[in-house]
Amino acid sequence: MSTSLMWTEKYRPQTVGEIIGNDEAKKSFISWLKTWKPGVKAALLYGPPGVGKTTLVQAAAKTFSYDLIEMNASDTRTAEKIMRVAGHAASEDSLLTHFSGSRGTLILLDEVDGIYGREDQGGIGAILRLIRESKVPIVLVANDISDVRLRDLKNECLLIPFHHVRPPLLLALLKELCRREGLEAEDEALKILVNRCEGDVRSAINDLQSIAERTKHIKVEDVERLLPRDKQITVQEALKKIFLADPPSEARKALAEVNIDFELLHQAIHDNLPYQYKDPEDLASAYDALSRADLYFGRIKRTKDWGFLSYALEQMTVGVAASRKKSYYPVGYRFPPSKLILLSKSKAERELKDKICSLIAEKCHVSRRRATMDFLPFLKAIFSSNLEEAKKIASWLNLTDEMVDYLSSGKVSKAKKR
Amino acid sequence: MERCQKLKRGDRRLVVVITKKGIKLPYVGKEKFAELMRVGLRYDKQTRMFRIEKTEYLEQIKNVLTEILKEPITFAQTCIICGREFPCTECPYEKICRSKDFPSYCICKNCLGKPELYRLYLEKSGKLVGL
Repeated sequence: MSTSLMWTEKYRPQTVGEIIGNDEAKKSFISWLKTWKPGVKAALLYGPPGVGKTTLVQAAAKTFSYDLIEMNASDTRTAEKIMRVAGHAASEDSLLTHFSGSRGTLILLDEVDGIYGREDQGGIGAILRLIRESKVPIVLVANDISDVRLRDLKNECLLIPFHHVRPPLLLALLKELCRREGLEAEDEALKILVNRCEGDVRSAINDLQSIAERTKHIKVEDVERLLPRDKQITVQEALKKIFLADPPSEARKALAEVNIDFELLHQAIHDNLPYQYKDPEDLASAYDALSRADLYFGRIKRTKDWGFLSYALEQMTVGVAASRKKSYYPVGYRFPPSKLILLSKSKAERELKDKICSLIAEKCHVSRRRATMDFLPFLKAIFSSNLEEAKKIASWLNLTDEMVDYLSSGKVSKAKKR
Repeated sequence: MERCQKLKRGDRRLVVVITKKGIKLPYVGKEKFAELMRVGLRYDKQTRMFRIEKTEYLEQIKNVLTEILKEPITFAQTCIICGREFPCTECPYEKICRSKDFPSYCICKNCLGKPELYRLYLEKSGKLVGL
């Protein structure tokens, strides 16, 4: 048994045929790659970690002779860096296509849901530009695509969902690894291992290797000796845990397992409550608990006293769960919250309005607030009724065509939105 | 659609299993029809069956169909080895499965004991993917 090499690397699938699970996703991806030509959407593979998303792209590149250019979370992914690394490859055919029989370049941008913040400034915009102008196939990989910031990216991609690998397949793989490594394992021990890793192939192989380093005869006790693993659940799973917790105190656990801002979770609970609690009394009492949580959040902001946080969290989890008197089925939970979606939809309009008000403020020597409150409504009325007057005002204020369109119709033109 | 019997704490309970072919429903009315379309079902006029097209809102599909049929719903899995369709309730690993009830490919209980299952799976999966 080789202990120097990680088994996840040693047994990493080299061809698409060696990847287990998610057969429908594999089928969609291969058919996309085979039929890809410039102008076709990019592919976005998303799903929980350790189910073979990145491995599938790497194996497909080998199987179909593509040169793979990869960028992952360890790279800084600013607009400039992305365009420098992938932009050139996306715009021209690889030289290798002509000399080594390669089919060209395949660009893989891993963990795109992690492209945020100051260090990755403009990253998403650069990827969008890359996708629209690319002459080679681009594949994006993410764990969670529910974030509102990925909305534009989702529209430009073929979405291919991945799910947790099924226990029978995982068990078959573990038995095969045991055979190859000359290990003897009790069926029950492997079953516990499969249960422990929750459909994550990488975790299952790592666990098996760590046990195999101690013994060649794997028993139930060996698996039970492994340290418990930190679980990460999606927002939807966290909502389900909170709404349907039994006993209600179990709802608290969801907070430890989900990686999300608490106020965003509060908003998500607020949005999903009416879909989940059908009984008006349950609903009213749950909203009472949520409003108390909101009060505490407000106090934290005002006083900076974080001691209130535990009260806020208790109200929005256990408080909501304890409000339920009847039993309900889980529903399809909506995330991101509607408030964020609305804000993101109206972003273009708000920006345009700000620009118009800045121009008014500059010309009329008033504040932007005053321009918004006292000037804009009258300008809208003039632009929608008196064209002659509107033309004069537009040239005096130096308004662009989009601004004129907005003032006369109240809508932002599609070109501007894009 | 097929109906299978599920044993639960000694009771015999009916569970409606929805296969890949789809499901025939009684007249559901305009609103329910729109809801079914919204959650990802498609209606085939020729066969007069509803088929799952999008799997994003499976829980909602389940809830709407349960409301219409007044019976619990489950989605059939397809055995990648023998091609048989079966519900998750048949599977010995039902309780530990994290993608339970998601209509997809799996291995049925009859094929679980087959020798060289891993090699057999890779072979069938390769064919399915089109390699």
